[in-house]
Amino acid sequence: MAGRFDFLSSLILLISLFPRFIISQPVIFDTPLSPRIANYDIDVRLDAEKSLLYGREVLSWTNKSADVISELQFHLYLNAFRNNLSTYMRESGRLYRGNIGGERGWGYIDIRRMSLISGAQEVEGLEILKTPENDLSTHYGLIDLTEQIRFIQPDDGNEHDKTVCQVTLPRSISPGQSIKLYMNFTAKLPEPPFERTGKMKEYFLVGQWFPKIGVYEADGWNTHQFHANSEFFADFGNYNVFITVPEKNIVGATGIEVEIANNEDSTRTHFYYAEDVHDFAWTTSPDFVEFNGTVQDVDIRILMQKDRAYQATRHLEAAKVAIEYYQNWYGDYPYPNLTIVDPRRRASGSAGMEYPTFFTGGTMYGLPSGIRLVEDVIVHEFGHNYFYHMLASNEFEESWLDEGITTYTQTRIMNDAYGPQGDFIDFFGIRLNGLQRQRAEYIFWPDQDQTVRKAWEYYSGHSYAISSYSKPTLFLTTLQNYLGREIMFEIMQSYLGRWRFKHPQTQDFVDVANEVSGQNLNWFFQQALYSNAVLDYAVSSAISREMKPEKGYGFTLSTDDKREMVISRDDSSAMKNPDTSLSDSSALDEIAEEKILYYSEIKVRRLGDFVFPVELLMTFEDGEEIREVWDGQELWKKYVYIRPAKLVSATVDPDRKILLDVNFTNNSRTVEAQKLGLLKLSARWLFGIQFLMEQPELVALLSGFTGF
Amino acid sequence: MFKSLKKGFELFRTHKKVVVIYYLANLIPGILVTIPVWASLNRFAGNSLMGQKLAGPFDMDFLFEYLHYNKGIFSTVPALVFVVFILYGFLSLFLSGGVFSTYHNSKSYQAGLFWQGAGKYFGRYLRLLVFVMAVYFLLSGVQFAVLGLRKLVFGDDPYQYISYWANWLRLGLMFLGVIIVFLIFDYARIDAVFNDEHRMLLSLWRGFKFTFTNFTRTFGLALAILLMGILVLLAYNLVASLFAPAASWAVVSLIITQQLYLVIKIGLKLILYASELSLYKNSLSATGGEEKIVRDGLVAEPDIY
Repeated sequence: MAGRFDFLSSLILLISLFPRFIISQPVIFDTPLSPRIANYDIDVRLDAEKSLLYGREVLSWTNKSADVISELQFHLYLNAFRNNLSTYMRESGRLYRGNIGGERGWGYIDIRRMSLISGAQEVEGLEILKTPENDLSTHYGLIDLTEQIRFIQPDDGNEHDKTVCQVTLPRSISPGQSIKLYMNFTAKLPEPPFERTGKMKEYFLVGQWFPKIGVYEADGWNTHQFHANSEFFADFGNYNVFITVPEKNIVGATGIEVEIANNEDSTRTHFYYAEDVHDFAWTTSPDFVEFNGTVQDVDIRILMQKDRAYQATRHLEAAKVAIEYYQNWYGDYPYPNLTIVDPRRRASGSAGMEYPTFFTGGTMYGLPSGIRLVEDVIVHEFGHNYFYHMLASNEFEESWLDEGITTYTQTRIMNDAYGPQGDFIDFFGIRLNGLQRQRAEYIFWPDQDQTVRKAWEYYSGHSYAISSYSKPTLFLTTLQNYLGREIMFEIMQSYLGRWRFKHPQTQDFVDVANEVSGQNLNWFFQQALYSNAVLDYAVSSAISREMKPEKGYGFTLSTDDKREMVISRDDSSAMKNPDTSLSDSSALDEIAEEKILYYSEIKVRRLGDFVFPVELLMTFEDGEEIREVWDGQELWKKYVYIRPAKLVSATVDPDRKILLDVNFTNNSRTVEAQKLGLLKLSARWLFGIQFLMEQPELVALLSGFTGF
Repeated sequence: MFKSLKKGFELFRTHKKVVVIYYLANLIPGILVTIPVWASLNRFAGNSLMGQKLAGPFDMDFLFEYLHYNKGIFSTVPALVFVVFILYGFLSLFLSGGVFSTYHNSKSYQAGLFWQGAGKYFGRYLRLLVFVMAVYFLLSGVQFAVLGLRKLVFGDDPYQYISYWANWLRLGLMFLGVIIVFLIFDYARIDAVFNDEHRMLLSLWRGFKFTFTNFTRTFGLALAILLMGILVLLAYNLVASLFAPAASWAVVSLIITQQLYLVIKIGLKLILYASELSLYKNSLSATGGEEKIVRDGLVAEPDIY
């Protein structure tokens, strides 16, 4: 009874103290989409001048494991920007997108108070937040844990890194049991925005900003430090977030905006609510210009910077493309809305970042429509609502599962929507597809790392990018071409359907691919994911010469049209001719008398360690084409043909299905040299040089102009 | 201005061989820089179907592969291009002495006059070039004035469209500056020939003065030739686009068109030189300026104007 009285009295007190909202808990989905393990109620106030966040947080967490848990672990990501000694700053060299970490302001997060709510477990976090700090203990029986907080460095032991903390609980949490924690924290955002969070003048992109619990897995806590090359991993839950900002500011955030309340101190409090998400980010600026649209029942809200507001339609159209393609191809985007933020000028550190139902784009004033950077970024970032958000894989440990699959899908969508040529750049005669761009990045450094690694263990940031984005895009496209477009669709749809609102791992994707395709593709994934093997098949030699009449002891072939002989490395001493049989030499003489025959010999080599079955196309002067399939296992293989026409060329992978192949140029070989294209290219080069030499004004202009 | 342009065309027509000299001077260094590129292309793709395919639409995959697998070429070719550009600059300067000399002194092309003039004025033109470069650097500074003005008016953090348009303004002003520098250079060189001037600072000053006192005509003339150049470039692009097919006839036609375009482009430059010379002379005559024409022992035909 006493408890109930306390609850009722505090409720009355709260309503009188916080008249700004008459809150009833909103509901988005009638049935939860996710396990809702980590639920947050947060009240945060922004001091825009000092770049400070004053936050109060109630975390409701459920132990879904089979273990009895006696300690909790939290991410304190903003401490990555605390000083130059953090693991993040050490790994990044304090550099991110041209900005220097801490140049204009370091960032941090301090938990000022952490308490276990021992009483009134049934009370909603929202209600607890309404209670004045001093009355919390009275109403909810807080057990202070602040002194129990210890920083840990599970990844590298760097004692200066304060991005993960651990707290020991006074009592253990049994399987299935829930707890509530109250936290009071202060955070400072870095300036300029660094690694997707921070401030630039009056613009704020607030990500990774609150104490966030790690993920408890079968083998314990998975709470990695904040690294230069990694993103995030968290459990799903619901978020009630009150964001108080200067009243002139516009706010955008994860989830839906439920209500806005005016405060007496020239601020406004925006109440946002999100269900079944695993992160919450928000933005605010007085300079935003808001645009809205709807596609397939999804409300799109675009917050453009004033100086780029004219590009709102372009953003909106790209968002429509992204939503339509993803929903049509991969299934429902269940959320009612989507918010896209155009980051402020000089705040590129916050551009191109994904959060649930909310992401930042990237553009610049004057960007030509033929350079589809806006579209590319929007299609990519929206894709993360599927791969990262709904399929919440561990970005620390298996970044290809979110970045790779998203980029693969992005290149497909871009090509379908804006292709087939120049889907990424179609400007002044230059045409570049997204897939070509990914391949261009990959072929320069194809073997620095295997694909699956912990994000901070890659050879370099560049290697992380190639392994996470480019290589997966290429091997998934290669797989798509190998299995067929429809089967690949089925794989993706099955993977999505099976793992929505869960934490899939690499093996889960492989299992789905094997099951749906009806094949054991482990040989492929083993190479693509767990090795740095490079794929390069080449036609190393192609000769064709007129056959002379046989003299002396010899052998010949039957008159059958098929005269292929195959020699492979493992049996090079014997000529195998499965389709023909030997006959006496007089037969050859007869044939030779009737028509001229050509002996054509082609050698194909596997130059890399990546083994993949390849198609070959042999073209003859009479227009005849012969296709062969080689399993690609051996280091080389020789094909011999005796035909009435001379060989023109031999090509491995003639349809360019194997995007992983690092050299397309050596995929073909011609018997006669082919110079026409090279002549054209050289002529263009010559013309360019001659033109520039004859244009000293242009050279003077370009060399004197300091650039845009 | 139009009278000068007409005279310029006449002079160009009567000195057609100069075009050949200029064209060869342009072609040979170009070939020199192309040989290593051709060799590397040939080595990389000469026996590949790519060697044929490139005769059609350009293949971006090939570009990246070429860049990756031919890194060696990029340590030599840029340096070669740089050296060739510098050498061509000097060669151009050398030839311009011949051009102005023969345009001024002869009604038709005379090889002896041309080469003697080229040799005679080269040293002076080199000195003039040094002074002109100083003017160029001074004028380049105008862009910083725009940046400074932008900062003064809009502060350190202007809206992006302000920076964007300010940059275009900077580029436009730089372009104007470059045109003016080249005009001054042209008229200074003409002055050196007209007055057989050895004091290049004086020629520079006269060139400067002439350019600005007759700005509508000097600039108008340059602009007219520039517009003609743009029209010819557009026409070239139009014609060149017809030769996209991957066929021998198309590639050969493209090469012919390219070289024809360059001949016309060089011709336009020579027409500009001739027109400027004519303008300079006419202006001096009109203002009663004293002309000191020194034949200096050169074999010369009487002036035609």
